[in-house]
Amino acid sequence: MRPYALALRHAEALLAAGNWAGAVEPLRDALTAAPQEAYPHLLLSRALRQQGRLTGARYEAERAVEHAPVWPAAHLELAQVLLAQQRHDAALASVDRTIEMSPEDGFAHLVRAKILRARGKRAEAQASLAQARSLEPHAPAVMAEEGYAALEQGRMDVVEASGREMLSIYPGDPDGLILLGHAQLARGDVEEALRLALSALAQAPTDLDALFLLASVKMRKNLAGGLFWRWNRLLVKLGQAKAIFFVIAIFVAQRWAILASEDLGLPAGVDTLVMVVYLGFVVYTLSASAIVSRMIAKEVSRVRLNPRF
Amino acid sequence: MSDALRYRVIDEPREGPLQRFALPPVLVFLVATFFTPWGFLLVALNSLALGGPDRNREIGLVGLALTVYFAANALLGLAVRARLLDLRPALYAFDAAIGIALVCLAFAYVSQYRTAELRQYLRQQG
Repeated sequence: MRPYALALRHAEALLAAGNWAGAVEPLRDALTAAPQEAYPHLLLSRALRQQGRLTGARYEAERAVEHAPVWPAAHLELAQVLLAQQRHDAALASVDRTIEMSPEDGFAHLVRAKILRARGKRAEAQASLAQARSLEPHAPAVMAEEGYAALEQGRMDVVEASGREMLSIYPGDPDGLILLGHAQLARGDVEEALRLALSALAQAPTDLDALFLLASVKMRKNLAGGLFWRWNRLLVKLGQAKAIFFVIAIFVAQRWAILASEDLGLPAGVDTLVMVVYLGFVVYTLSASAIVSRMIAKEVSRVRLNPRF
Repeated sequence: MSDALRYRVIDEPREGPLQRFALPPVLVFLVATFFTPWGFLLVALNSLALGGPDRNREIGLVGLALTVYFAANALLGLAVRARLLDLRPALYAFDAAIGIALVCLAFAYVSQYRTAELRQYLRQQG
C-alpha cells in the first residue's frame, strides 16, 4: 500500500491522462489511509462516474460533501453524478448550491446548462451556457457543450463551426473531432467520419461520445445493425425507467393482441403469427446487440492509443 | 495490508459462497418471463449469488412482482366467480398485471446486469 500523498499524486496523474479505471486502486490506498479526507472521495467519484459506475460515484460524491460541506467542488461533482443518473431536480439543486458558493465558477454554469438541456429547458440552458462562455471563453468543455446542444437540435452548421473552432484552438481535442465527425456523417462522408471517430478514440479510448460516433458510423453501412442502433438510441433517449415501461408495454400489447385475435374471431393462425413476430423481435434484439458490440470492439481494437494514456 | 482492511468501493460485489452459481442476468430474466411466476424466484436467487450492492432491493422487487401476480390472480378470480367481471376482460387485466410484475423484475434485472458487468471487469483485473 502506498502512503497517502504518493497514492494521491499517482491517482491525479492517471486521472489527468484519462485513465479512470487505473486511478481507482491508488485512490483506494489513499482512502484506506485517510477515509475522512474529502478530496480522494471526490476524485474516486469522478473516476467511477467516468466509467459509468454511478452507484459508487454517488456514494463517493456524497461522502465528499459530507466531509467538506462548504466545498463547491464536492457539490458540483455530486451534481454531475446526479445528472448522469438522470435525477435532474436533485442535480439542479446541487449545482445551484455550487453557484451560490462560487458564482464565478464557469464550469458550474456549464453543468447547469447540461442539466437544463437534459430537462428539455433549452432557453434556460442557453442562458446558463452563455454565462459559462462569458466566464470561460476558451474552455473546450464549454465549446463542446455548444456543439452537442446544436447536435441535439440538428443544427449541423453550428456543430461543424464548434468542432472547427475547438480544433483550431486545441488540435486533436476529442470533442472537437467528435463534433466534426458528426457533421461529416450528416453530410454523408462516412469514411471521414470514421477517421475522426478513430482519432478521437486514440485520445480518449473510453469516451462514450466517441464510441457513440463510431457506432453511428458503422451502423450506417449495416441495415440490421442500423435498425438495432436506432432502437437502442430511442431507449437511451427515453431513460432507464421509461425504457423499461416501454419494452414491457410491447410485451403486454403482444399478449393483448393474441387475446383480441380470438375475441375478434380472426383465423386461427393470427395468434401464432403475433407470437412468432414477437419472439423474432426478441431474438433479433438480443442477437443484434451482440453483433453490434462485437463490431464496435473489433473497430476499437484497431485504435492506436495515445502514448500518454 | 489484507484486502479486507482496504477501503472498499460501495458498488463492488461481495464475495460469497454462492458466487460460483451466478448466471448471466439476461438469461435469468428471459427464463423468468417464460416461466411465470416461479421463474421470478430465479432472479432472487441470482441476486444472492451475484452479491451486488442492491441485493436486498432486487429481492424486494422480486417479492413485489410475486405479490402483484398472485394478488391479481386471486382478486380477478374472485371477481369472475362473483360475476362482477366476465372472463375475457379478466384475462386482459391479468396480462396487464403480469406486465406490472415484469416491470419490477426488469428493474431488478438492470441492477443485476450492472453488478455482473462489474464482477466480470474486476475478475479480468484481478
